[in-house]
Amino acid sequence: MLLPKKQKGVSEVVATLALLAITLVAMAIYLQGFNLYYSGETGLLSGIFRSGSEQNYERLSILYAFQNSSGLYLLVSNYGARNATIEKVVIDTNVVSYSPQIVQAGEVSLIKIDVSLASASVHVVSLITGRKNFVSAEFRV
Amino acid sequence: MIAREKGRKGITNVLGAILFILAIVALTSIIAIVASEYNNYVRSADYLSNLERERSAESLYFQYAAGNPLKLNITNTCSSSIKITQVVVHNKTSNSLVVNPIASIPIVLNPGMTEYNYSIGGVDTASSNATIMIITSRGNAFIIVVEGGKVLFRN
Repeated sequence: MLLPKKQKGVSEVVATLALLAITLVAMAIYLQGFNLYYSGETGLLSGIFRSGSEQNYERLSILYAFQNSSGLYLLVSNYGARNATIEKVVIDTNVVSYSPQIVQAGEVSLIKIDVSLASASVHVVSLITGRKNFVSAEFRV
Repeated sequence: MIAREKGRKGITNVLGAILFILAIVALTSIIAIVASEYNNYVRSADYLSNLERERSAESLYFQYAAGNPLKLNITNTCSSSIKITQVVVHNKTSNSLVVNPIASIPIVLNPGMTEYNYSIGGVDTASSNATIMIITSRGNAFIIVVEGGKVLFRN
């Protein structure tokens, strides 16, 4: 009553198809898990390119600068597609004290900096964002 | 001897298949993720270059229309549409900044289109001493200076 030897198990074609199906399912599960785990900007593989593309989507420009008795004011435009957080302000070669401020995408913001600069001389201001972009401008107050 | 060899042969095949699957899954997953992220990066670089090209090509032509309040004719002289999102006035007499002194923004100027009698509220040409900034959605600022009864453009 035993079956002939060649009829035992599955055929090679079925086995190959099964192997392919198992591979694809495993790959899908693995990819899904990997993407979920590295959905932030600091993932090892995805982070290499993702942080670069986020930097490209963040665009700031310094439009105007003026100073009065209460401090220095900078008019900043965010013309990119991402909200930008200005984390540091550097004037000439000094990092000035500044509490981080968000400039919404498509908005113009007035930023106040508590410094007093010598008038009638040229200064350079640089803004450094949370995504490590920076924008500089030369101005005279 | 023959029976043992047969048994070992079966297990080796299964282990080999499992290792093969693991190796293929790991390699293809890594390639797929890197390719996807690289694709996103290329798209962002394309977005950036287009935006900066359009930004550097933006151009507005100003003409004086009336003095009190200051009214301007603004013409879009570039080949793409310009959206004016903000008007900011720096009053140099009081050294203060006023954002949006008019209510009719944002306005969109298509190529060649002119906005007539665009009013800048609170600026009297004869008596004001001010710097006016016409700010566009691409982050450009067009400066107009009102000083000593004159209106100065950088056309």
